[in-house]
Amino acid sequence: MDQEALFIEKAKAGNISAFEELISLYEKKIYNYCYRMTNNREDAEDLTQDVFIKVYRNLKNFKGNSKFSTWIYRIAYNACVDKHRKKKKIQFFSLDSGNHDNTGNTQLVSNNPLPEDEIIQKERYKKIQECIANLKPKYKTVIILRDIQNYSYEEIAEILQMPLGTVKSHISRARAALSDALKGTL
Amino acid sequence: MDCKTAREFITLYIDGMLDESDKLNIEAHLEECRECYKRFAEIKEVVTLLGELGEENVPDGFSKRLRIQLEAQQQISRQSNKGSRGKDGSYHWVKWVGMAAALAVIVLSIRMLGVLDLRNKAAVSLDESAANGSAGSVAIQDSYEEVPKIDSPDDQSAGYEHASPREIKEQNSQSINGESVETGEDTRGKGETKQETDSGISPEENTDDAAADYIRSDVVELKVQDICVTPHNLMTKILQYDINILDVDENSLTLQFTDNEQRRVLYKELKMLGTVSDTGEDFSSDNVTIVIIHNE
Repeated sequence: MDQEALFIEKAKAGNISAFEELISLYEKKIYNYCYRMTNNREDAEDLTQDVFIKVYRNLKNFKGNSKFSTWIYRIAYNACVDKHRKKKKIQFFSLDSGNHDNTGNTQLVSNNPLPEDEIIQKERYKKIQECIANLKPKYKTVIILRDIQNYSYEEIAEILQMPLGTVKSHISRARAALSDALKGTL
Repeated sequence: MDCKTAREFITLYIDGMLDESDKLNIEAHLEECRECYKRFAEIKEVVTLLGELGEENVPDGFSKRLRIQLEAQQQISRQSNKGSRGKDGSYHWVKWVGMAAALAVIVLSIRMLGVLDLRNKAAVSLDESAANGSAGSVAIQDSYEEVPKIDSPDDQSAGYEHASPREIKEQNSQSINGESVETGEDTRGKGETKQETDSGISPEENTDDAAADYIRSDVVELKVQDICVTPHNLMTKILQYDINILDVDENSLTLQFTDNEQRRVLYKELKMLGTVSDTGEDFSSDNVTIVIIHNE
């Protein structure tokens, strides 16, 4: 933690190497968060780059009132919501494009003879990813943070700046929605 | 515990967030209520499935690309620290150069209008003389009818009002009047671009080949042979068109467009320099990054 503070001070002074050290722990986390939020790898990379640029530019405003990790996630959440809003405008064009891998089933069976259980399991992962993609951002974000990235309720409340009670009900509703959606598809 | 409370507690129970008494209560309820147990099992399964999703690796070259952007940021903040810099750290000198360029364009346009005005007056008098002795077909009626709808300077449309459709046909065959017909079509073109801006850039328009000659997405790659084509050289061209420059780095620059006319003129300009390809995915962004790639 002390080391993190040191890197932050150096990065605030414009030291890029220190900044890279500082964010090296978060690169994968933030990329995966953005990937689950957008369900699109290219968007996820663009967003992750944007997030770190924003972090770099605004580092001087980071006073250490919240944890650095929480602060980065908050920036990432805002970036993803922004992206979602922009994408919504052209939704009729790009809705889930690239995710509906319709040929996937047949290829999987013919080229790659996996045991039946494994095929079913892969299908389920694909389905749940689609279901996550269809959730509203506020539900999506709690599911990703809680169930994929293992953050505690308190940390999620801090990241999203919402009361603990709201986090609890969001997680509960999001899981219920996913369960219903999954039942509908399997 | 009733079913309603039990359902509310399922998620907290799974996460171990309940206090001891609530925990015992829900366990007792789940043992006796088959429906709630089924729901519990479903939610538990979702949680397990989500936990198994795993993490993707960051794409190759991610750090390198980030480094380039960070260095560009560093340069910008250094430069703006030297010059005047707004509260938001924005790039004020670019704005000033842009404003100077805009002013130059305005002065030039006013001068040009003066010249056009004289020319139009000459054209009108020629039209009138042509009207006296003409008879022909009405083939260009369509284009004639559309012209007055466009937001054109009064003297121009006045010129057209004097001429009947058949006279426009005749103008085509006369070189000096042909020029004024062209002006009319240009104005029409602008009207169409304006409509596009109003409705936003939609994919339908993207597939329309006739309207394909402008920048559509947020990333444009420009492949050039000439080593002299750099973001900084491109900047001077861009400022001519009063396009906002947001960011410049060693091989790209980010612009902000206010209308489709700017997208069109810049596309034309870029095409003269090299091969242009629209590679971005965001079709709604006003900010566009031009990436210059030098072919070896």
